[in-house]
Amino acid sequence: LEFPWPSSPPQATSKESGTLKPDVTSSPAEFCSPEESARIDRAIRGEGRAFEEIVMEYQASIYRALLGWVGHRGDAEDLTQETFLLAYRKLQGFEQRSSLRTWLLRIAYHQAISHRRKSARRRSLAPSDNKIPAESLVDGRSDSTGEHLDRNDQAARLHEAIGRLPEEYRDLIVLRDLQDLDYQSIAQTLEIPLGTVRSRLHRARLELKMILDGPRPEGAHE
Amino acid sequence: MSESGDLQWDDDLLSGYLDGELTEEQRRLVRDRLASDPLVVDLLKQLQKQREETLKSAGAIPVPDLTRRIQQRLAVEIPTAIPSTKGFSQPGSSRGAWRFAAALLAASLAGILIGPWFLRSRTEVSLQSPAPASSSTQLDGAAHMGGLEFDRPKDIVSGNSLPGSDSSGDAALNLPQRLEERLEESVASDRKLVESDLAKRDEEMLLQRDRSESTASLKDEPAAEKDRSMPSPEALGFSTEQADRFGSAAGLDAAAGSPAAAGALGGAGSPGFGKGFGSSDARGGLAGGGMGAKAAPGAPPADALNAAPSAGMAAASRQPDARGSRKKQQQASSPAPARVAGEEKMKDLELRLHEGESLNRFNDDWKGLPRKADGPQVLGESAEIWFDGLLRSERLEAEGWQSLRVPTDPKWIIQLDGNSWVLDVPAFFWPTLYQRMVQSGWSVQDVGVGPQDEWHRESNTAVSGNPRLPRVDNPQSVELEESLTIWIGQSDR
Repeated sequence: LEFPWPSSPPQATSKESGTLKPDVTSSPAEFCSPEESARIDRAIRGEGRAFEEIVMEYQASIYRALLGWVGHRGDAEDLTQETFLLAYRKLQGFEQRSSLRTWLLRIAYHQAISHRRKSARRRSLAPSDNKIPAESLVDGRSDSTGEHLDRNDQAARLHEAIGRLPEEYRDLIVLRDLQDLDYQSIAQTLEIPLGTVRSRLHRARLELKMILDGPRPEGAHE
Repeated sequence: MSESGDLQWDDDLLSGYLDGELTEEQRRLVRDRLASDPLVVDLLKQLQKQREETLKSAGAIPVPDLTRRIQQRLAVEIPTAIPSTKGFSQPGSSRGAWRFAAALLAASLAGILIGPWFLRSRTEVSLQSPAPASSSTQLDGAAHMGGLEFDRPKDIVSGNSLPGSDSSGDAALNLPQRLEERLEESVASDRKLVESDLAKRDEEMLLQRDRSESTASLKDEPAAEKDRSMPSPEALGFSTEQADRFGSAAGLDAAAGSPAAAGALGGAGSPGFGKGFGSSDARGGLAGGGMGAKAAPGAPPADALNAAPSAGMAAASRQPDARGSRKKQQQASSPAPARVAGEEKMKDLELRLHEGESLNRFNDDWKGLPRKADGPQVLGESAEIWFDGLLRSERLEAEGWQSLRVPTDPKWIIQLDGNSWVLDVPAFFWPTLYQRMVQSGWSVQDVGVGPQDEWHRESNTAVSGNPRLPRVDNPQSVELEESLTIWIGQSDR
């Protein structure tokens, strides 16, 4: 039996052979490319254009990840801004032991965690519905073509299901299945052992499948 | 379970296979499995389809262009970024240099004008003015240590000076140097006086604790677990009768706020002890030079605290010795870590809430926090953690901080004290807390405790039991229920 294979599978390392270690920083999957390094250097030197390029290149990725994590467009926008602000402050300290994208995602992830905590507090003070409206995730300004509407609906349904996942699963699905990050980068971003990534991701996918296969909750986006 | 070589089949290999994250050996194992088990084939196909759809759906998410907004915020919130962000989309602009020069000039002028104010504010935030010296308190480490006339802090929520604010900034301007000098003096003198006494006390205390733990473990393992997170009052020097009051949250409930209890335990319960935790005088708060700074009102049992007045200062430089026999035994079997001598410059371990940072926003300034990789550290005069919504317990943990779970009482109050949240607890509880911290290698001056976000984390998993939480928009006082976890720095992690 042959199954589709990713065009360029990540090189398996000895660490992936069953003796997985929790050290998520010792063997980063990817470093900054020379271009990235040069851009970072330029930004550090104060070249505004360089940081603008960074923002432009990565804002979509960061925004989408944050949207998956926090489930609200406005919050994701705010947190994206916070992420880049923080990145700007910390750029000089970035050791470039991971890709810039992974580093930014890590910052974004911490922002998301903080946001969740604040949200949890707000919820505890004033209990409210925890449901994440799917319409807040995908573009409400759909065009009139049926195909687009279908795609939008499907995406909304998926995001709704992702929003119903436990956070630890959601975090992984967002990074792997939405962001297409490799395991090592996920481990770095979430600061969890590499071995945990695979096992938890598998459980997350099964859980997501169950949600998608199951009955849709009342009031779900149609 | 099928095996291939040393590998065992595990369902999660399917995800690894799907993602191309397996070794050749693992891939072979999966292929073997797929060839023999149609159910696995079916599952793999479904997962693959789901993954493709998820990946595709990401493209359906519209992404707003935030470049301009980020640029604007950079210009506003990071003044030093102004030159850069001005040229954000104008690379090579000939006006860039002029703008940079103008901004530099403006920044310099602003620095000259507001520098003293800013310095003072920073200092005020990180080093709050000591509580009025209370001769009756035995935990008056900060007053003793400080002896300096600090300006009153500003309320960064309102921006107003707190009552009693002094506009003079001279003391504050020289504060770091003066403080350092004073610290060195205090440490040197205090250490001689109390170090031996403290060492004895620590040994006794830990021996007692070990005994109580081993007894508990023989009787009931869960109980022993509980004891580890919260030492028994007996082990902390309380009588059995007193210990009953600490036995549980319910016990605390019974005792909290009771003047009688304070009297019984401390013998010097201050007027209004029972209901006055929110007042500045009655505060058992920790916002100043650590717990000892303001742990005043219902003076804790003299027996439990008689090491306290200057103990902290001394202990600040005797961290590795404060751990008692068990810790020493542990250390004996492992290479001794490089010790940072107490005489060396103390590190500032405060998490500071800077001017301009709101209480529910923390700009990720983690500098100064101990890191595990840094090895043993001697602590500065305090290691305050400010209440902040964004303070991350995981991060703190990763940075080497240690959590301490403390049963709270509905009568405990969180109060916003200008710059920080302080925990007002019945003063008679401080000995327990203090002892627990000492057991962890801290002294009162080393530890400043801010009610932490840990209970928020707990709230995520047990919202039903969640205390009413502090609200930054109504920062008067909030009562806590159940428990909270206090993060304390750990000197040798």
